[in-house]
Amino acid sequence: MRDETFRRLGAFVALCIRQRVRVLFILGLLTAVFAVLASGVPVRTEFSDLLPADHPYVQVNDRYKGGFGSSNMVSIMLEVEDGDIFRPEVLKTLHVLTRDLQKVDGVDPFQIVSLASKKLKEVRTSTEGIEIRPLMWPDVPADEAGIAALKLAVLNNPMAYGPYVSADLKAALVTVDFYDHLLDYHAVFEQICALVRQAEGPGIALSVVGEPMLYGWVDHYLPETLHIFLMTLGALVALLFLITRSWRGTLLPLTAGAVSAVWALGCARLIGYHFDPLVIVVAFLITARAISHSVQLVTRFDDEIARHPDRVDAAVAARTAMLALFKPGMLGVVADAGCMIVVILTPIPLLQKVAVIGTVWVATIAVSAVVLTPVLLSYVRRADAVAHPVDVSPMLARGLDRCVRLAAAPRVRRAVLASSAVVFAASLGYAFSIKVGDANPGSPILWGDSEYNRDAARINDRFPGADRMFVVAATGRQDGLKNPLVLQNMAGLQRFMEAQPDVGGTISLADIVPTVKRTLREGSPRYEEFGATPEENGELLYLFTSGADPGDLERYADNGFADGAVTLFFRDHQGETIRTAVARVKEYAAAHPLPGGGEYLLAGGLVGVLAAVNEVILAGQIESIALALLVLVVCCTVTYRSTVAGMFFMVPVVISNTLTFSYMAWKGIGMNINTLPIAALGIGLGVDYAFYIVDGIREELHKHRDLDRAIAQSLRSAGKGVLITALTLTASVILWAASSLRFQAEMGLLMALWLGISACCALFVMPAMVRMFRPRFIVGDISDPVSQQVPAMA
Amino acid sequence: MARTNDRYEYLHCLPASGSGGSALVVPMNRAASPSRSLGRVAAALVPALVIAALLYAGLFIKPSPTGQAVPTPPIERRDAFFGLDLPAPGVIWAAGSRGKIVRSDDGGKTWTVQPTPTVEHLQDLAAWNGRQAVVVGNQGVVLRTDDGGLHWSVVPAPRSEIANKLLRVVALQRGRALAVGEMGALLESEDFGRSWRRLVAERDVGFNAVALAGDTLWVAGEAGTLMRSNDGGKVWHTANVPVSASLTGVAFRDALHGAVVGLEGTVLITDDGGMSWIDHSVKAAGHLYDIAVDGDGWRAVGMRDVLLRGVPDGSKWAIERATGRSLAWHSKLVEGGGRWLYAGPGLSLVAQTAHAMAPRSGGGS
Repeated sequence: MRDETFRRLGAFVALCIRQRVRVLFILGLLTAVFAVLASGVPVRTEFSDLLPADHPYVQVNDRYKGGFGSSNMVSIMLEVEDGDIFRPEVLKTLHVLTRDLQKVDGVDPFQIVSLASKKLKEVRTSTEGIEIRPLMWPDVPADEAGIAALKLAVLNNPMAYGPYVSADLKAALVTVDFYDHLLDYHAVFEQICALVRQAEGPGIALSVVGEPMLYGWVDHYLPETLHIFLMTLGALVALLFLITRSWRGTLLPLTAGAVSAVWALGCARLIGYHFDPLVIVVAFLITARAISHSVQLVTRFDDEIARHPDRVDAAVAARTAMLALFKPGMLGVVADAGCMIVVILTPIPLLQKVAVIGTVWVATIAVSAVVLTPVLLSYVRRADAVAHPVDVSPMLARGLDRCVRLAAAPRVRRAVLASSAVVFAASLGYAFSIKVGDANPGSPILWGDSEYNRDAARINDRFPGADRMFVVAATGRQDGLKNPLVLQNMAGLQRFMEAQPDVGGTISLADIVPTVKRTLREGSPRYEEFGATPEENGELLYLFTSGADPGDLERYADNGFADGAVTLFFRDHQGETIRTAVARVKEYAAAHPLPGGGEYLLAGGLVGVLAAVNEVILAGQIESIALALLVLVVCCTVTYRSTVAGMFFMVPVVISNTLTFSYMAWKGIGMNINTLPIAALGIGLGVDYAFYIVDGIREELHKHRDLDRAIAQSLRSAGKGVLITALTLTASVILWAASSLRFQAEMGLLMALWLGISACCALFVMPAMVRMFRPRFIVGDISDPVSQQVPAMA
Repeated sequence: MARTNDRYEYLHCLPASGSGGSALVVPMNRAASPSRSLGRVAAALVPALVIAALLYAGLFIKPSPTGQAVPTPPIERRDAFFGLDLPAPGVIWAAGSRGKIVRSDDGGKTWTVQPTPTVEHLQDLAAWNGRQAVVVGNQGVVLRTDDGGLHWSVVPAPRSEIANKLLRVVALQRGRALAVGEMGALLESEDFGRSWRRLVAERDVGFNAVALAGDTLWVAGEAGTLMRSNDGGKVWHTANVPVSASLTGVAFRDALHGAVVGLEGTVLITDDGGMSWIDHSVKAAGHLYDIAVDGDGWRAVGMRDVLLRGVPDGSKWAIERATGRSLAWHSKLVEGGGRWLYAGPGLSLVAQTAHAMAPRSGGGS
């Protein structure tokens, strides 16, 4: 049966080489078609992709964001250097900015709030009665007296003083919200930046934060990202050319990478997916896989040529290389694809799309490297010629000889295994401190000293916090919110939440009602309290809304006062902050149910949806890692007909993963929507090199029965390919460290680390393990020539 | 664990090297050593266990988020303390919103929240000493303690049918106490707050402040209300004042010299025991809520962190900042051990005690 399979494979390989013109024609045609398709793949970040639509928080957000504020809110702070904002020119600037924001694409004109908007109102008592009017709308006060009155009015207004005018009066805030479906990050970013430049002047500084701005920045750096991508590619070409000394060793791996990319992007277009610029790291990682497989084939091809210097036949050498590496290559591809597809279980559209495209992309390596590279190799004419005089192969050989000696010496290999065990144990412990969600204040996508993060720090310094979460107090009945017990309950929630230091402040209807009552009672703080009855609260609210737009309370409650928002302002959106806040809201809601039925609904706004994303990732991370490992174990078990094989190949994977997770924990890189696909892909990544090395050993043992010689031979052949890819990819990927996007720089380092550790595992640990444990699926029944004893497999 | 048969590859590809196959036929030497069978058992068991563990982890382990524990500070951001007292060195005792009473015995370094039987806003606290105190608040609630606040108990007090918010209480000698509030409430106790009786008939004017100057009782209230009684509250005389703003605070240095403050910067001064009142209002100060004797001069607090300091005859007033840390209101001011403390929002109280009270404990006053 197995022989039959193998004969078929041999026939297939022979067919590919024999019909190479047709194969090339078909592949070329397909590549051309996919290239046309791929050229039309839109590059953008789509907001709805980032959210787990089925999560209850996201549903609450979708239901209430129209009134209570969406997760796409942008905050603009206008700050003066000297004095306070109550100067004619400053107020005028604020006024113009607030007015012009209405022209930004996709903006919700009813959700532009600032001192200069109609939304911030003043309730004043005068001899004629109660007067409610906007603080500074439609016009800026004309004279000093008017400005002084405005200042007084602001100081007395908790809706303005604090949330929209800073406590030291040196800064004013403008918040803008958008219609999600009309939101175009690129346009919003450009237009708001233009408004900000226009508003900036001597003594007036502006800071802008918000998710649309963040993604706008990512978009802004797209050209730079492309530059780095091209430079990486250039470095890769140069290094490959230097090391392999041949055009085939340089161009074929690149061809494999390019063909895979074209096919995958073409497929993306066919399925209707777009390309998120933040996913470019994943793309590069998969391309690295394609290159690595191709390098293995070229290296093997070179070995075959070198083995028979008298009888150079490119076609036979290509056939041999393809046949010999077909199994480890396909095993690598299938294992990678299997690990990648597991990500689809995380119910976030972006991750599911990445999983699908990533799986397709990895699968194309089966064609682009495993088939296309040997077919092209069969065309090589002057196989023994070198393209340049610099020869680094002696250095590589020396390095590999050292690996061979490591594996051969019993004491040394024991030391290697012992130290790997120690490294594994230590990194395993440290890896558990990895955080879900963002691990630092500000955005982890950008550097700490980037303009965006500096702006965020400035705003969070002056105001209660730019990141918002709303909790809905849903009474489910008309005027339910007017019940003093309900208001007290909401105020209690606010009080409870404000004990958390990361919560800069909270606001709700329960803040408005007492303010109106206090105003009616000569402004006495002793009367800042709720009305005694629902009717009194209704009157107070009526006073507040009379003579105003009916929608003016919509940030706090719906029109029927059935459901209200408790809005929490956060100084940061670190994973820990969000988890603590959500747990505390739940704790309070469980201990203090809303009187008269109804419940608290979590959670909307940016922090609300981030909470949903983090919960989904947290719940799914064990699942994805465990299932990816399971896929790997199953692949190895089936391929080698041995469950021990599954265990054996888990070792390099587990070591490289615990080490990289430790690195993430150490560098404060949290597990979030951007890093999860890379982590999942990394599980498969660690094992490819090991497949080639171990399969090389097995194959050698078919020719003779000397295990040490087999290990040495495998390291010199497959090991050389591993070394070449590891060196070139690691060196090129380091260039990402120069990126203006911190996320890409960190992921570049992470990839370099991953590739380096995987190579080390394959070159040092795997041979030592083979030699030490002598698993039967590799060595069969060959007995140990030294000890005549097979140690137990741990 | 059958071996696969990859050996055929060279037979197919390189017919010249076809001799490789025969090398694999080797004699089996299966020595049945114990360590070897142990290894076999392990090799059979471990993979099964690992696969089962991975499957279990993948399907059933769903970590749920847990937050950090956040301790609730004794003084929260939303607390408002309308009344406080300094009955003994180092003791700060304050009452405020939602029935909250806090006490510090070390000048404000540490605070203890004292359990109370009410959630009504408490408007004022007055203590005779470190153990005995009385508190008044919304809905006519009156609380008292005999043990430094370990136990606060509700005391019955005369109530109105209409409105019952009590705003201020003062503790006088020999266990006497006076409380004022809405609907002309002026209540008196002579047994450390155990029992209370009305001193004036109910009427639709709120009283905001009460003070004793010599033998004369003074009560200030809404819309320029200012009354005095020389016989302990039986007969009341209305004082003529040149303002109509609500009066919120009254203080006397001696039987003759007194001052009254009110809304919109109202300041009234008398130097003849209240026969005549002179208007020294400081409009720019805004609403004022309380006044006290400060050495030879006067000291008043109000909205937006205003501190008004006046010369002895009350003719000149300077507007200063009470705490300088926020623009919070302050509803009462108390002096103790040479230091002033202002009742206000919780954050203001924390700011005042955290910074200013610290040197005092070192100075040993």
